[in-house]
Amino acid sequence: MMPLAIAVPADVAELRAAIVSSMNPVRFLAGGTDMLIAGRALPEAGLLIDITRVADMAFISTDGSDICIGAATTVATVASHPGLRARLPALCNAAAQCGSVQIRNRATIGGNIANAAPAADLMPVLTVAGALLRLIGRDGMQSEILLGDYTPAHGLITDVILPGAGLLRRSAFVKLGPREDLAISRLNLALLADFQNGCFGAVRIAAGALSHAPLILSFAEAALSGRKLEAAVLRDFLSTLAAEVDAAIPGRNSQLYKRRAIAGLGLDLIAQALGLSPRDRLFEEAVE
Amino acid sequence: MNQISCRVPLIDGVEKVTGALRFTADMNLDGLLHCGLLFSPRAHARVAYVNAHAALAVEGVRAVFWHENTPAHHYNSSIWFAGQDALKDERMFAPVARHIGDRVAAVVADTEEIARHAARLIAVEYVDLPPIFAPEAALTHAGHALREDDIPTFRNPVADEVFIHGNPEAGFAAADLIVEARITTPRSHHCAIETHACIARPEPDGRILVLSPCQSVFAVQAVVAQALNLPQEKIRVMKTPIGGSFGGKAEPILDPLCAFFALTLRRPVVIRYNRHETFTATRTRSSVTGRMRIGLSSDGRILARDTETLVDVGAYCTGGNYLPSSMLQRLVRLYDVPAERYRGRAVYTNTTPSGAFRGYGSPQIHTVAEITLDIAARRLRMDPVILRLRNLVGPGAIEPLQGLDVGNARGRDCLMRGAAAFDWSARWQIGTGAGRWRRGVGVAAATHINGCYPGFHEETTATLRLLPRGRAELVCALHDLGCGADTTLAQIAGETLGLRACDIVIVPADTDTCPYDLGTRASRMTYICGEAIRRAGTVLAAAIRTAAGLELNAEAGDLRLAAGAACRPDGSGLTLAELAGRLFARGADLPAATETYRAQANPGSYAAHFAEVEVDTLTGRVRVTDYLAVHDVGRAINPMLVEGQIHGGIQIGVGYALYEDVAIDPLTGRMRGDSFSRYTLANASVMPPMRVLLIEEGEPTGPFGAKAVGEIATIPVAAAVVNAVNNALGTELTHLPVTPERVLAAMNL
Amino acid sequence: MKVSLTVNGSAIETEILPLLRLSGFLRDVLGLTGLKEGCCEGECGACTVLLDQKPVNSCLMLAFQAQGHEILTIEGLGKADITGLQQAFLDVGAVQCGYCTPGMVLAAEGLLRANPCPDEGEIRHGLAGNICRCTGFETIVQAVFSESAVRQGMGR
Repeated sequence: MMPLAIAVPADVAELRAAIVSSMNPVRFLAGGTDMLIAGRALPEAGLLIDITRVADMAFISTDGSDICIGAATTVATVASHPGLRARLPALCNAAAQCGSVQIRNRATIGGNIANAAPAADLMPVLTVAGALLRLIGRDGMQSEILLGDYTPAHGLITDVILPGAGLLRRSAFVKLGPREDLAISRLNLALLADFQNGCFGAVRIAAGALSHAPLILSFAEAALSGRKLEAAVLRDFLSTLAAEVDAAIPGRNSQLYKRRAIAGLGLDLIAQALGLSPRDRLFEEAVE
Repeated sequence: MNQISCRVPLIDGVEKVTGALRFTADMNLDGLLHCGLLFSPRAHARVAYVNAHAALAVEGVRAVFWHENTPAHHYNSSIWFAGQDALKDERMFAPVARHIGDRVAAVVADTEEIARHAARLIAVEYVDLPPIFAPEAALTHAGHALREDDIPTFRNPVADEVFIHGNPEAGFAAADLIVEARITTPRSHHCAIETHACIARPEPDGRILVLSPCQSVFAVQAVVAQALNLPQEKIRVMKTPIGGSFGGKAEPILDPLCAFFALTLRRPVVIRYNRHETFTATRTRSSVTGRMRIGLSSDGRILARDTETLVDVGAYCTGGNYLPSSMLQRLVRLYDVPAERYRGRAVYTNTTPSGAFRGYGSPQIHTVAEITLDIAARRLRMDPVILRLRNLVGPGAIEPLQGLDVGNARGRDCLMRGAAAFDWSARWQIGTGAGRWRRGVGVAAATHINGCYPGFHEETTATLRLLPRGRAELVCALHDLGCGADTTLAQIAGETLGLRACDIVIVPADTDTCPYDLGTRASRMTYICGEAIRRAGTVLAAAIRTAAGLELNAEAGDLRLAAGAACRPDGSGLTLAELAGRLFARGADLPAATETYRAQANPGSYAAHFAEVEVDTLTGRVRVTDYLAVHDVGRAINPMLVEGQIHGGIQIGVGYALYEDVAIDPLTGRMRGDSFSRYTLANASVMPPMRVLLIEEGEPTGPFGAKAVGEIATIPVAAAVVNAVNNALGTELTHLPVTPERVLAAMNL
Repeated sequence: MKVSLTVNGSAIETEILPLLRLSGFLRDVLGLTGLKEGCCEGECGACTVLLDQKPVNSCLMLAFQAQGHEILTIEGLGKADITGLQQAFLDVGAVQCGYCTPGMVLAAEGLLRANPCPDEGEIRHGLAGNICRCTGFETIVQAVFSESAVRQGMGR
């Protein structure tokens, strides 16, 4: 086999040419924070394409109806983007809790999706936001695919699109790891919701780390949507969350723990979405 | 006092903060060869066949070593002097791998990359043997590993220590309350940020030089000599800067291999472990299961105590056979217990070996004892501070095991001053609060030793010598592990000579140039080495005054050494630089003094720690929200460094309580917590604000009244935190670490 | 392959192997051994350098990816003397064994450049990716805090 070749395309045309021209296996490198971890095999042959210098792959556009994020945008940029924070704060919050400062300065949104570990923190938010991915396939052709349908075999992610129609006014992301800061999620939750006059409208909730991919919690969604924010409703919501865990990981060692812990996470999620303190009396009532 | 009690910055601080200090992995010797090791993927297996052809065919590979072409001498890596009686069960490469991560082979090559690549090409055939992972199972199992000569390689238990003092039956019979608890403490790992490394270089005279970030150059020399079956004098060891040890680098693990490779290949060789290897192939803290029964009177006097401990020492003995007695030695110096029974057993399992780790058994036994005592306080509905005060030993107490005087023991001061500063009585209450988040407070006391007295070799020799420019050279086989011992000891020397700490030039520990010393262990640096240095300094000061008196035509007794000069009462005099210059010019010897100090006592250091936690009863997450550590240190030579030791000890202890466990899988023997992403350490975000109070009542036998702080700093932490959690929740959590799962399980949720 | 970049203010152009990590390039090729390696998985932060002023783990980046960028290691931080931040580390006892120190100082420097006036929580969060096993972080947080105050005072 040919020794490893490196390509550092400067724009999308070069990128596409590099992908198409290679007869050998192609791997993509962006921030490197997954690929270069000790113990993981590095490519020894084929073509390694560094996508961090492709013009117009690192940007965040929030001015149009859809939000569009270039796949090579760093997680730090996602965390601190004012326009994104105004429209989808949950994504900024999730990004701000990914790894350390050092990791966030290199890791990219595209990498978080393409390498998606079950605990990847951006994934549940992107899932509830109904993200679409724009791809370049092995044949160089562009296509779009739903986030949930994507596998790395489909090709290189160039853009992440969050359709405006899918965005709701409130959003939140919370996680639970072995320690509070810089930890791989044992469980995380993302929510998008409408909330007016003390009442939930549409609600979308997804959980990470319960399955290989984010899990949409439709019973928990139903427990909130159209309902008033009150202790009884929250109690309902918490019991559906526990039921969702039971259904997702029956018999798993962590089931007993996670079915309880998800209640705490669920209340934190609502509190963050509505700008309340998790110590608000209402939440205490919900668990009394 | 110009140096004592001063917050002197590290004398080697600038090199550290600029990155100029060269650690072992930073050293580049001419012709240096590199290593890649192959480790056993099997927990217990005979290494039936090793095929190194593919590895040897790689360009740049110099040699491949395994059990068939390396010395078959058995050794024990925990010895600290030649001829020390210890169970020899280690080999450079064993024919029977005893744990996942045991060394099977090594490649030496021109670069580390080549060596590691080639190591993966070594083909090994293993014949599996039945493994034992659970210490309880090991207790009933003599062990079935077979040595090449068909002799069992290990016999369980490796230690069985029994101690009875007073009449325990009568004590329990008289008790109003008997409390029994079973506590388990985890296997934790040192996690020094510097991974293990060692360099060996053949010398032109046929000797071998070992450059090692170690805790004792003489221990390294003794172990290498035993492993290679060479006379000691063939081996020279120099200590290199050490990027944290905490006991993890106390035992020479790489040094025998490195020395042998270098001797064989006639080239300098470096071995550098990566993080995974440092986790799985060095040492851990032994895990302990402790059953403790305490009989108390209704007013809280301990009448009798009965303790059984089971220590899992892992796959090799190292110092594990004396762990149960070390734990006992620490246990009996805290409370005045009129009747005591103790049985401690240690067993082998097919897991990564255990070894020294900050406190050497003390964190384990005090965690067991302090959690059990807190459960007793709760059952008695008694304030746990008062219960402890009622039983703590005081100054001059004689401990019952070795009959040693615990010295100016100020544990009670620690508890009382701490309780006041923490506002304990207002914050402590029986019964739990309501709501999702619950607050609780916890306290724990601890003691630790000061050196190895009355054990062998508890002595050291220090030489101080005036240098031509008026500074002083200190030779004393010192091993600063990164905590600032060199600075502390330079302050002691400086104090005696009227010099600053930075005027003391410390010669790095070197078996060729330094007299024998036990090394940095057993909290002995300040207390033992410091006293030797103080004595040498006092003698040298007298010699300098005599020499200066001749120069100044003054009575030596009228001269005072201060600010780098010998001064008359009116302040006139001459600087030590001038004095040295004149003596030197005249060809006279510069004053020097050598003193050997043999310890006469082993006083206790004492501490009381106070923690506040907040527990999220839905997620089980525990946050330490406030922390106070009070330490009886005799006198703080350098309060800033003492506080630094305590802060660091708390970080290790918080991890021990809440996060840290290498988590050996009970079915496969595989270590799950084998990287920093799978072994959780307390980071800056989760560490609480910490306050430190020092009790400085002076220890008459210590230099300037000082006692040890290094190890004790971490001993009470886990119990204080766990007791706070139990206080918050009304639970009796006894399995460490207290993970969110265990918290929720204890609440029966 | 060829790479050109700026390291501690000096332009460097050299041939490297494609899979050489930035940490290996800086330590082994340039001899900048103030940079330490602790885990090679982005957990300990010992290998932290500033890449265009921002802290990154040099172990999780290939050297060729630094093409055209500016790298600052501990060796380049203070030109002639140690910086105020380094002095603050020494003065409050934020250095013990010294192994995490270069990475810690650079992470702190990156934090202060991005956020000149951090509160205690922001300092702790900002240093969450740097592990120190000696100090419990207490004095490290103090050092960053005091240096931030000094820089504020001088800025006004």
